Amino acid sequence: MGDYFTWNGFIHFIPKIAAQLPMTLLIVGGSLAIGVLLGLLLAFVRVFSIPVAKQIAIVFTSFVRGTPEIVQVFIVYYGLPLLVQSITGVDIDALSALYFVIVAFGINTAGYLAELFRGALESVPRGQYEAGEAAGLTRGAIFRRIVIPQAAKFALPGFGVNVVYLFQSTSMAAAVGVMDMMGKAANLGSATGRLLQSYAAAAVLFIIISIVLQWAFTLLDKRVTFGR
Amino acid sequence: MNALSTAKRVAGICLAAATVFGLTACGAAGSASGEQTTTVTIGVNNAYKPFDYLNENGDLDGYEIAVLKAVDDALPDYKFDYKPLDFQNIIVSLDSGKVDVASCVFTVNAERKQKYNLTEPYHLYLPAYIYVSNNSKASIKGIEDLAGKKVAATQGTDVANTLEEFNKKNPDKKIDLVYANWSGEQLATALESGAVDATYSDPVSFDLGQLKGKAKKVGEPIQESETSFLVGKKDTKLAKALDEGLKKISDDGTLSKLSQQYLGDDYTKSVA
Amino acid sequence: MADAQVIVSGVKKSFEDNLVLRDVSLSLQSGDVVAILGPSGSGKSTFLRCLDYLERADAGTLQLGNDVYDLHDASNKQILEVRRRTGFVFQNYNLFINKTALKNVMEPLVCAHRVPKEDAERIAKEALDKVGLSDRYDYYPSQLSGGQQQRVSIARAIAVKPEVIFFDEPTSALDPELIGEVLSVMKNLANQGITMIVVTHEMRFARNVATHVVFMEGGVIVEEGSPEQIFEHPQQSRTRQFLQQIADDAAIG
Repeated sequence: MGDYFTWNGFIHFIPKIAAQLPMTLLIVGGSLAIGVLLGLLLAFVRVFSIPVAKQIAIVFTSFVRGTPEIVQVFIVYYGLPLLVQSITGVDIDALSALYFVIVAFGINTAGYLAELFRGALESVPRGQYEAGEAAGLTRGAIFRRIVIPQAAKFALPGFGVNVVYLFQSTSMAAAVGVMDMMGKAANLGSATGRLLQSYAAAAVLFIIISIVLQWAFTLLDKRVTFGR
Repeated sequence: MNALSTAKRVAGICLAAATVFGLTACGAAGSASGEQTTTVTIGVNNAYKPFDYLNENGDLDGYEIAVLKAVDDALPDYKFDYKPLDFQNIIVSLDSGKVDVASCVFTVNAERKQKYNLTEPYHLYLPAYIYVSNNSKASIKGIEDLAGKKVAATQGTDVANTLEEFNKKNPDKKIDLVYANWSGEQLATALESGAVDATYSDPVSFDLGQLKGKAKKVGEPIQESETSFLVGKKDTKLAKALDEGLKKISDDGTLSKLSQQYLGDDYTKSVA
Repeated sequence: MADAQVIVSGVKKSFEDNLVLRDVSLSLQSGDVVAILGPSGSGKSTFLRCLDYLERADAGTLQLGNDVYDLHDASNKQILEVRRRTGFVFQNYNLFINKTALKNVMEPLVCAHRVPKEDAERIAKEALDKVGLSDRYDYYPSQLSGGQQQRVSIARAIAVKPEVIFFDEPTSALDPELIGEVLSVMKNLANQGITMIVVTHEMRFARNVATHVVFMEGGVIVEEGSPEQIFEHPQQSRTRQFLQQIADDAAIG
């Protein structure tokens, strides 16, 4: 190993890469927020068969799930300013690349979550809706208080998978210049000529994150079990 | 229900944080001051030593960065903003307008002259040499001596194209070009074992690479490539300004000094 | 409020080309217990569901007290109003899976009737006590037997003090040994003067507890009257046939 890898250097790299954790969390958090909201919207449109919107949702979801994510990142990063410019004439190129990354990941996540949420919503027995209706609850109340908490149980495992996947895919953010954990690992690796060392350090950090996430989701799962 | 509202709250905070962060970053970038300074965005390679790269601390460093900084100082009406990018993104960013200037040791050729404004004076003249193993007994002095020999080459490089041209003109004295994704290690091993007889490089890359100490340069430079910064074709005003800046630092010797400092020798003048 | 009458008039309903309800009308006084009998496919469940807008009738009206509601053309506000003035007990209980028994009973109070939480809790506990589940307040539906779940469901319906409660085959999904506890609760409700419309197969309940029995077949009311009239002296041959069928089945069992 010699020049490629020293344990000392490896340990040394860990805090340096970990310093970019806030950035990684920012990307994941922002993308998740967009993904959940947009995903819920798309799921509702499908479940309630709203005309026109339903077709758009289907096409959109297929595209997002059928193309490589890095392609979507580039399309948003290069294409969105052009689109915005042609419609409103505003030049958004100056915006930090972080914005674009969050939008791209958010849209991608929404595509996957939409299917997940749709399946979860449809798994809630019709009788639950009817009992709520018969009791005189409004549609909104039924969804908020009865259907969604139950759908959450069905959606949770898939949701956890998507969150973990989001963390892994933040590595693509570095391709457009966002300095998150993976970007820092690449930077350190090429700056010091010790790629194996820096990526190994990054891997360790990601393993820790995965373990924390797993623990968190196990806790969450208990919350939505309702005595079962 | 508690789980959902907690998750929603966390997500909401993250989104808010991202928005704040983005806006401050945006604000910082767009703070062209009250005077007439124009901000110029320059896309630079983030990992190409010793020309453009991010060092361990995440700061931009390298010869081309230093040159650009010197030009920035020489042009009080302009302020340079640097965007470190992956190699594949640099040209695309320039073409799509995300950056105004591109810096990545771009060699001057006819195609680029047509598509972009190339800055002058050229800030780098890199000679390409033939390199053989330290224990090679062959007497190779120039391209002709490579006939019939195996040469490790990288697809798409200017020298490779030159050698291909030679082969076209001399079908009976062909050079055996061995194309691969050569790493420094692989080249050194191949030369030592005799798997290939020679390769080509420039002195700067050679100094930094794995070949140092294992190979030596022979003969005269087989060709020389000039390097320039790329500016959008329509951006003639900016291109002219950059040219002025480059001329200034070339005339007062700054350019040569930077070359010595970063590259080990003065590569700012043609030796062809 | 509990003195109000319930009058149903001219309910019609088709599914695709299938005319399921031809013209059904019914009239109740406060405190009446109406049992609706009939073979499957007679439309009795559909009829009941139309009264609560769980199916949208093609025609018909529902009168609660002095208020008349169109069962076909009603605004969301009117639908909510009807649902808040009535209770519904489903064949499959349909308890809210994510809430405890207590929270299940509290839900309509808190959410639909805007009752403050402390009051709702008190009322809910009383209702659960009435159905004999004082020791099960904090159990989730998944932790309760079918009979217990149905009793919670009844508690949920009575807690809001509705003008009438609709029961859609309340014991049909229960294991035989659990039917008794539910019927006994329903009998208590009847004795307390609660107005009930019950679609059921339980003949003894219809005979002993109901104040009025309705026999439906093919989307119409074939015959109706007091339990004595229907069971002892059925006028229509179809009624007789049906009762005979039931008796035969009981004999075999």
